[in-house]
Amino acid sequence: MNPSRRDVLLGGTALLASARAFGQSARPKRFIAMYFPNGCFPQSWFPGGGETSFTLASSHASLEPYKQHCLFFAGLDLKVAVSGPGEQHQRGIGAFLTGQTLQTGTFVGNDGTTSGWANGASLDQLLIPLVGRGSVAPSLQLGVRCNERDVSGVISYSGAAAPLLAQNDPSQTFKTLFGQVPGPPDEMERRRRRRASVLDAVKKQFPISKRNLSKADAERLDRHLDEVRELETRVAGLPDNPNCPPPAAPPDVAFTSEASMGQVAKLQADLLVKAFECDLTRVATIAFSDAKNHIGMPFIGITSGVHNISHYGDSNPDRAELATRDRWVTEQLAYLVKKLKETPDGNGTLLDNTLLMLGSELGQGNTHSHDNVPLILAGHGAGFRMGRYLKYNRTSWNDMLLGIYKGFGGTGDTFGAAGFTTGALPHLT
Amino acid sequence: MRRPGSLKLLVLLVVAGCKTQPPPDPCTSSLRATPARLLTRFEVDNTLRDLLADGTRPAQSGLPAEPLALGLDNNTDVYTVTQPFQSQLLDLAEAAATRAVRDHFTDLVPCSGQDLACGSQFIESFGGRAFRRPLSGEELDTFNQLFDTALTAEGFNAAVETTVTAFLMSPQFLYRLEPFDETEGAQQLDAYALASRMSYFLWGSMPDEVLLGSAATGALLTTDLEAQTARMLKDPRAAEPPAHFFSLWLHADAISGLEKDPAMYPAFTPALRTSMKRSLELFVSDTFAKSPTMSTALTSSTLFVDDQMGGMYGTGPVTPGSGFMRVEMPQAQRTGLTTQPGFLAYLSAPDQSSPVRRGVFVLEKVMCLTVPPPPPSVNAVPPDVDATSTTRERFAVHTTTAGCSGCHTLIDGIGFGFENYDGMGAWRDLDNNKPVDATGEVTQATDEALNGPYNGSRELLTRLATSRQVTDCMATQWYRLALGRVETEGDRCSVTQSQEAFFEAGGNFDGLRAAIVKSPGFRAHVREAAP
Repeated sequence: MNPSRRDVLLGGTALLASARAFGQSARPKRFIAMYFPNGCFPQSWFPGGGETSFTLASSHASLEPYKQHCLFFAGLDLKVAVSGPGEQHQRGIGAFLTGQTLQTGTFVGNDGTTSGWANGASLDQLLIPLVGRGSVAPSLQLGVRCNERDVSGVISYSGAAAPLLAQNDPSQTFKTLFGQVPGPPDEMERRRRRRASVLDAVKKQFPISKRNLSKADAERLDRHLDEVRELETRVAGLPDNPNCPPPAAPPDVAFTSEASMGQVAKLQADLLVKAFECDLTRVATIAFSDAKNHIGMPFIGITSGVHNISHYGDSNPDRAELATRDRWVTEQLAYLVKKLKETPDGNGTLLDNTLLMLGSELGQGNTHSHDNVPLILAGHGAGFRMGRYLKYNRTSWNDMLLGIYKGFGGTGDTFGAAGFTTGALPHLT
Repeated sequence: MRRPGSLKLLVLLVVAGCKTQPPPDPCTSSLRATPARLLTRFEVDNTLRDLLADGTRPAQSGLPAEPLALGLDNNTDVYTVTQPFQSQLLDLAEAAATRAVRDHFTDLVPCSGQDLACGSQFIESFGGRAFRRPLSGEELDTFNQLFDTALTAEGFNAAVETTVTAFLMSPQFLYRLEPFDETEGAQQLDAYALASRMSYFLWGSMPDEVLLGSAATGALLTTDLEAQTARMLKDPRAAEPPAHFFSLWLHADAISGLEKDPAMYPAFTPALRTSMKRSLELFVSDTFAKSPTMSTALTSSTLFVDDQMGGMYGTGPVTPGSGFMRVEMPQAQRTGLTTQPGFLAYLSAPDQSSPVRRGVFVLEKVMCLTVPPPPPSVNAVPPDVDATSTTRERFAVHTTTAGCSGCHTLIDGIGFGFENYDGMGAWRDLDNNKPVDATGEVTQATDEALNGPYNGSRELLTRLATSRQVTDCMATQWYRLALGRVETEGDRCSVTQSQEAFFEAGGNFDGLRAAIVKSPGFRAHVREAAP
């Protein structure tokens, strides 16, 4: 359960086996993890009522039509994020999908303390060998103004200290998935041949270059070569989707600006659904900004920094503005659920074969606590019994990560850093 | 004035040249290896300019941004390739190759035959510049093969284009690879590797022909080092790494994403934001175009304004469409790097200035002091804005509350000095109709001369500009930039030499850079024993 980077990249070989493991379903399983920073406004987040009879809180109004496709949670603690290097936001985002502590390093956190990257692979990457890979990319890391280029802006890791940084520009997402805007077939073919011979010559440079380097440098070049091979597969595979013509290229947007977040979120979501529909990829993460932002969200009327708002005391009426942000983030989940539900996939819809996860790195921003961290799951991709509200009692977040991993057919008794898993989360199925 | 330590080092190097085994040098014996360094976007763009006469700077927006380690973009421990990097690099390399063949074909190809023989000549001459050293026989073979295949398939020009693309995607171009011999520990650095270390540190770009020539004869390793350093520092390219360093240091990129509360700052628009960032970049380039000192950098009263900024920043209106004007401001109003409008707007809250963020910046980046984090029980929230009090009055709660006052006397004692600048970085004499109080006090400086009360940011910055603590702090950050990693205990001797040289040079940045190039840490080649 701690695969090497090569195993993750070669996840394709597991495809056939996993398709058989899922028996009757010929359609691949997919996974989307969505992250938002600074915790939630609990008063408007947690549902009221019991497991099967519950009412949604105001932040989740947009999920009302999809309630039976969702699981709502309370009582999960991101316990592993309490210890190790870094400040609370850094530790929280690092552990969000990895269940790991951080390494020591040079990334300066909100309060001046420093840390490195997370110490292991993230759930999304560990799922690739289980679900297999699509024809273009083993996974996508999408960002919606996730600008931090260090531990505060990364949720996906292919291994310890091997971060996968988010792509914030929908145009780049489009390029990754669909290559160039299509041209005449002979021009496409000429380009493909040329690229293949360029990458072939580039690959030949690696054994030559590696001689006389230190072991660490030779390993660095090996990792680089893995990425070149990955690109080679993608370049070779691009025109092979006759039944899935690419959508129109997205418009240019000011993707670094918080004012564009709404537009970017929709463009990224649309491209992702298309990628699932065409089986270009099966695993994705979306980060709605990073764990070090002091931004407003002017497009939904929040002009003061969300990070600061999240810090306000519970009695401060301004802190309720955080609920506006929570509502917007939940709407992004609802939008994806809706699109997936509308898209046929085999005999059902994409929602039948996808699991979505939405959560944060903190419980509450004002206490920086990692207790009762917000989480929603949606979709039927992991075979969980949906339409319920599950209340746990100080249960480790790593149990939940393991529960999802096993839901996709994974095995093992622990997830992430040693000592933070008591077993796969019960009651999911 | 050469320090005794570096004299000793020179003697050791001469001895090493005579093939006698030198005794372990305390300056290099515990140095960390310098790992293979991936070119940053800044370096790729400069290299394309010098290699292909391509001034389009495609990497800046075409490759993923580097992770920042202690504020720097070239930290080799964290800057590694990713999937998006590879596919974006392919696009970038193809487009650059297309432009090169279209616009600079005759510069690129040194012969006129449209055949494989001419192709081989091109590969040898271009390859030697792209890889910053002559190509090995094996390397020549692989590129000749590629050229041959492409020549047959698509003709001569397309073969050149294809080959340039492959060069730009090769590890020998993308990384600075420094070969070792079989021995472990410190060893003689390959002359070409040294040339690249120097050119990327001093120019942010590839070596030129003169430098490669000095590497070819080996003179660079011995007698020619100082002359080459001096020559390179006089070249206009030498102004670019400082401009880049200070853009990072001042978070110029973050200005592009800045938002302000429109109720508080109705004049703040995306166009103004763009102008502020450009103004900051122009200030930095202008300041470092002429061999500046720490003192000019921290106290210059120059300001660049365009029609967006004119009027708001105390300069009077600027005619639309006339671009940026260089203005000498009244001395009280602008004092160097840390009072640039865009930077101060960045170190502010959306609805008010931020004495805390400004104070922490000066403490950490100018004075190299570590500011302890707030205790976990504290809500680190700026006070609410109200129309009757000054920012300073609202923040005063920090310095009067038990549990906060310890650190905030330190932080706000500096941050309050910048209170004449509002949340957009504009000068103000009044804050909510009350006179601004920009007095403060420096406490806990290790340089005793820095401690004590002052009035206003100009007095504060003038004091900082000549302090040994501040020049030492800057020298350390430049040493990190030069080596692409954070210093360790093994670097102490090299860092100390660089700090002393910087101070003795009157805070002159060229003096600092020459000292870093000469330092053992910069020139050492260490093969760490396998663990």
